[in-house]
Amino acid sequence: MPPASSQATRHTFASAGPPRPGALRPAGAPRHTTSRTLNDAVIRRTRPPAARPRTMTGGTMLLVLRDSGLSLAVAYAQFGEGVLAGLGDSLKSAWSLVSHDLWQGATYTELVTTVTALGMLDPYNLPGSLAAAQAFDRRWGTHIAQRQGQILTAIHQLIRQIPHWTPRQWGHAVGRLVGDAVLAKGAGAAFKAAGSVGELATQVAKTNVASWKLGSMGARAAAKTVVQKLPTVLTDGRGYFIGPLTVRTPLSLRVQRFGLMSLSKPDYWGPRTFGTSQAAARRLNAIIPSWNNLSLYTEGTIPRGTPLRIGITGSQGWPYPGGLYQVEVESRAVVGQASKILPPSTK
Amino acid sequence: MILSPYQFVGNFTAAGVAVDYVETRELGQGGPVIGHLRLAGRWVLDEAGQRAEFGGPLLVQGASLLAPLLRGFDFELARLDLPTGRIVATSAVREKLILPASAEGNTVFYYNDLENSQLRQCTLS
Repeated sequence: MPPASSQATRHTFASAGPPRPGALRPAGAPRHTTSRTLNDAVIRRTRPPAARPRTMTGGTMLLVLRDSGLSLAVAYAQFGEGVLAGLGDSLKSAWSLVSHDLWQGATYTELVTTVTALGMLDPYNLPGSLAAAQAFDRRWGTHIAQRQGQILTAIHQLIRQIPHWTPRQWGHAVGRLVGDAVLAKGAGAAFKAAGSVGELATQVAKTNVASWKLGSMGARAAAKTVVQKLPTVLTDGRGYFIGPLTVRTPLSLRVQRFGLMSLSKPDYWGPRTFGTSQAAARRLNAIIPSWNNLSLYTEGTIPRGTPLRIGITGSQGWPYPGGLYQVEVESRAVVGQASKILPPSTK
Repeated sequence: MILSPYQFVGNFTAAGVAVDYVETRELGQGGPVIGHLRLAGRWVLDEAGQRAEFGGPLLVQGASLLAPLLRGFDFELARLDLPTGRIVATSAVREKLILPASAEGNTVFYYNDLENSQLRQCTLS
């Protein structure tokens, strides 16, 4: 039994009851408490992380990058030699993603958002790419700009952690980062990737006597090469992100397509999400102007049980990130076809 | 006549050699047709010994066949020796689209857009 003078026994039924949580702490009691009817639960002064809205905006990101003293273009230039190795490491889990998680709706949404954000990110023109993403978000109700902010934050965090890396270390680290971001199932995965890669690289950097300074000559040229190649590395020879699956569709699919159709070979069809929008087809179906002027539009339905090849449209580099799913199917298997002639699009 | 990457003659005989353009597919949605070439029954292989993929149209020049050779998602022009079925020369030029129009010696004239708006040229080496 505690002594009579202890704090726990000072109250009586006539008093206000036992001390509220934190009352005896040096900083005093929490300022915001409920009434005793709610069991003295402490109300947090801020909303918990799970309920906090997504507030990272493009403008905030630009300020952060400017304050870091490094332009993203220079940072990209350092990626150079090791970026493909880093991507390779990151993609070791790709098969699991494609074969299992990818076909869950939430995973697909996050993945498409990340791939699109990466594809729309132009390191030479951050304000422009963020403004374009925001305009896209307003039009389609997506979160591309916010995801761009997360990716840039992750890269920025990486840059601040390790100032002295060899080019290959940079490349490997950022390759891992971008690969993990592309494969990310959750919105916070880019931050997580930045942290883990940073820790790994810290160990490597400690053993490396010769430090390598940022801002080497030819950075801009190297950056251009890397930026152009980076998204397309993940595109397979058939134009899919990583690769397709061959299945019999368990559902009827409402699809659309731009271009002529063949009677002797499978054609690519995409989801009927954006209709005749040529801008959306250019970007999300990665149909580049040199290949198709988008003047012939056809929509139809693939009946349930039709054999087809399905996957995510791979990137064709800036500004054609892909991201929507696409199927390869014989066009004669698509029923209820209706075509429209549209004004040719040259850009 | 406008040269098209979608519709062209792919199966014919030139210099006594049967040219077969087979296993065709699209390069992306509504993109150029690409496929493998078989000359006199032999597959045309690339440097790695893999079956090379070509776009179209195909252009015959004497005992040679000029064809857009697919490299990743770009094209470069290639000269194929019809009797041996080998790639004997390629262009330094790489484009998203190459539509060979005519040839004079080692110089090939081509278009790089669907509208055939401007004739360009390159050399094979």
